[in-house]
Amino acid sequence: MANEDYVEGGMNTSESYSYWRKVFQRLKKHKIAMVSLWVLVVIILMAVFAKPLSFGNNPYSYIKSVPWASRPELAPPGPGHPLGLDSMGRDAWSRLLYGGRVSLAVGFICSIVGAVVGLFFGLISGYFGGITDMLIMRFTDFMLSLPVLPLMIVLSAVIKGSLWTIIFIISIFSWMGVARLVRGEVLSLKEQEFTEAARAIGETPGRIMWIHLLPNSLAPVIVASTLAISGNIIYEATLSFLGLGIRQPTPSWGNMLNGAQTFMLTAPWLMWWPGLAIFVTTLAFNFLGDGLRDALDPRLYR
Amino acid sequence: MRNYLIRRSLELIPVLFAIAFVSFWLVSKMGNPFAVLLLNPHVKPEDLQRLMHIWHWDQPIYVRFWFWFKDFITFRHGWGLSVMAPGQTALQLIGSRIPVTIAFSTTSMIVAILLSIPLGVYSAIHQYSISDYILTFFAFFGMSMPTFWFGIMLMYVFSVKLHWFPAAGSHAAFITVKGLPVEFSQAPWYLRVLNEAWYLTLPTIVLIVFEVGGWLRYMRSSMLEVKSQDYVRTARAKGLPERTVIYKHAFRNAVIPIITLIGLSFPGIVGGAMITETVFAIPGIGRLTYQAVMHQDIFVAMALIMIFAFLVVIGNFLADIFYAIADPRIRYS
Amino acid sequence: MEKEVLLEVKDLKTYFYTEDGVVRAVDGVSFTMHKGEVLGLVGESGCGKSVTSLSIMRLVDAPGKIVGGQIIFKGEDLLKKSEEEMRKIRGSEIAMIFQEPMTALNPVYTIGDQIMEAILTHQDVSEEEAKKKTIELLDLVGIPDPEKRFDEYPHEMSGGMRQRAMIAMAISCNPDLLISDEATTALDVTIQAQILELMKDLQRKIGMAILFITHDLALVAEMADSVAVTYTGRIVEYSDVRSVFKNSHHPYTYGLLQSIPSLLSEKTKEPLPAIEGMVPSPYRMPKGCHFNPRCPFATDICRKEMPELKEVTPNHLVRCFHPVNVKEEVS
Repeated sequence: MANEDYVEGGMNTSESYSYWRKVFQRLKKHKIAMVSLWVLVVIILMAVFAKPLSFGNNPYSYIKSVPWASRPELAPPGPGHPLGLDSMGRDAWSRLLYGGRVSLAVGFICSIVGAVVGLFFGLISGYFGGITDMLIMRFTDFMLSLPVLPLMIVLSAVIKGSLWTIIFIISIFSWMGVARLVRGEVLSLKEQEFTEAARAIGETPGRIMWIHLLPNSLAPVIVASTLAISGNIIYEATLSFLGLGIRQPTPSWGNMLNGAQTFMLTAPWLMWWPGLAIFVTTLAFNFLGDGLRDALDPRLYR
Repeated sequence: MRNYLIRRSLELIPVLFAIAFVSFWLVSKMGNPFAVLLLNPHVKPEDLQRLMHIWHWDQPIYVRFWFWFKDFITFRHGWGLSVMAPGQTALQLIGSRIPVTIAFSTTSMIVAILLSIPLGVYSAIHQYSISDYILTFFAFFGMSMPTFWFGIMLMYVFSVKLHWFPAAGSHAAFITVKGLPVEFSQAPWYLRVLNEAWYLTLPTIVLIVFEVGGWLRYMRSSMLEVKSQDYVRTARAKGLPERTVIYKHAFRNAVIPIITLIGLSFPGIVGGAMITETVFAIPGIGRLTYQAVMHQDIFVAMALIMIFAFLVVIGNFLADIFYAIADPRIRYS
Repeated sequence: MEKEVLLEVKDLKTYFYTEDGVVRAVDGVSFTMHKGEVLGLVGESGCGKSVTSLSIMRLVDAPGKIVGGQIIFKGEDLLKKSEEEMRKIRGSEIAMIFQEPMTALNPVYTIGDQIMEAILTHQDVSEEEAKKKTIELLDLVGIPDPEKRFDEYPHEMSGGMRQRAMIAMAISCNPDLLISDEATTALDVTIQAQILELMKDLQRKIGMAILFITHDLALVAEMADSVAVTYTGRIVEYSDVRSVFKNSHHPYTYGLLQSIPSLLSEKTKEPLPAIEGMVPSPYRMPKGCHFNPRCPFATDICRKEMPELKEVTPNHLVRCFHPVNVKEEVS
């Protein structure tokens, strides 16, 4: 950037900031994305501090009785139990908080795994080209043609679920989009001179990919991964809702809604809060991902 | 163009084969479909062995798969026996459930297309206006909404509380014809259609909201991108009326990627229909898949997975074809 | 023989209101064009030439806005016209061709369709007549086998042919003014020469004026009757082509001409003189004359004030406090 003695006219001293600060500045202008970011921070904090926020309850113990209801099961909200008790007599509020840990963890981890695997395949496929590229792309296309939900259901039935098996199952289907994106980026980066320069001075392919190609392909990966978090959370919730995902007694937002039709009439509040939690979180990640996409769009830079 | 089509069709076959094998291997892990017959005290272990032998179930997985696959593509042997519905073949069971699923998912797709395309174009043309913000917000809502929760909420509000729509099932057991209750299958066709439509309204709405969410945004961004292209500027420089510029020049280009998107949305719609059917207890193939897995009904589950895979692959294929038809650059090269 | 005045641009100002500040892309541009005249508008990239032409057509998109001046075309101020009136003028009285024919033509329609569209919009003729006229036009611009080409798509043609098709589209309604915005920049040199020949030929046949926008001085020398040199949104030198080339008075023009390599020059062994520095960023314009940091003749006043466009020799306007090459007048 020019450093000469120029006077007036220009406004933006951000020209001297680095690329990422500029991106963050762009993001800040996107109000909805910023609101979503704060909402997510709050939600994450609530999940992290689930213990103190539970007012001494825990999601696993069966409450023997509550003074304001005849039976503990499906008891309405009251002092000490802001969301009442669920169908097994457990405190719903603490289950909501601890359930958040599970749902968010699944969302994040699957997204990260997907990004890493996708980056790996995309870099190799794009850089080496030829047969490697063809094989990897065929495999990616094959994975993309699989009917996701039916197979996830079968997999969850076959591999009896714990947190890590669910993460594994969802991750299997999460890397293909990133792989394609990265491959596209690498193909266009390959044409640029700095790649040729790096090869000319004898850098190994590994180094080239790690130092040059990877950082430049990160932008779309970040956007895709953020958006993927919402999809993964919904997959987990769906599987858990069907009784196949996270198994009792571990709470997750999805499995709290399992069989909601049965208690819909007597305790409708039990179905609002977990669902709302999923919805708001997903919405926030989608807005944030969209804002990131606008902030990182290279076309919007002079 | 013809070569392109032929090539693409040929590519489908190995893909379907691969999906079939992987799915078969997975589903077989669920257990032995014949084992449940042992629950019947009249069935002796030797009978079971004999039955398994007839169905090649005592052979290694490759052999089993090959026989099953042959039967599947030739529609033979009813695709196997059903565990959940004893006496029925998988084919019969599936055949009875398919119409409902097709009915309400196709309806939802058609309505969603009719809504998202015009609204997406409108949103793009009036970028930054209030309507644009509202539509974009609504689109995000639709995209982010967990379908099962939305279904439950709709059920709660419109069925349980307002009694406007029924809560479950695809049709009533009895319809009132001329004041007298008549069994559903005996009622005249138009009353049957109306009744089913009434039952399927809420589930269809769930699907529509989800589909419109995604497609509206995509149409909007495609239109925005096209709007700033050089050829749109050329069209204006020629003095064409703005309507022609937007609809003849811009839209015609912007709609091309949407066609692809709709084809690629098939897996999502399939999944969405699965969940919605389960929530609303609709006897369609989505819910059947869930039940088949839960009951370890291997033949039914396999057949259903193949059907879904087939739909996905067909969806992609059709998307490619329409893309080729719509974009002359692909057609003539 | 005074030729009729066709277009008078007076103090045109078009600004872009971006997130990072105001870009004064066109900041007080004035020139006059007569019927059948070719005016070359020269300058480096980013100095406002394209924006000027888009302003004339009133096709400036947000965040750009025409904030001042007048554009008098055939006696009427275009800036005061309604959108509907402008629409009737675009394509029929003023036409424009662009730099990139591949992206400027719609990929999903045949070129025959796109040319016919222009005809049918502005002229009251039947479809058959429009089709006939289109094929004639394709022939006129030198496209071989026009009946066949009528049904071809842009991607099936070469760059040169696409540009010819664009020209056919532009002249289809016999415009009085053709604006050529870097129309040959993206073409190979030999094709470029052919297109220029075609344009000159058509200009003679149809009698239309051409606003020829380019950064290539050599093309201007070939095509233009008058030349206006622009720098950072203002005209810095304006005269007929001979005066500008033989007797350039503005240091910028002079520098540009000096930097053209010439085989016949005696200076073939010396390094090629180039103008130092770069075009300033629109957000950080220098104070005073915008060219002063790069000007070898700059003095104090150049750094403080912006010079006016003044007639230095007869019919030769220059915006400079120290014009060069001015023979001292003995009065």
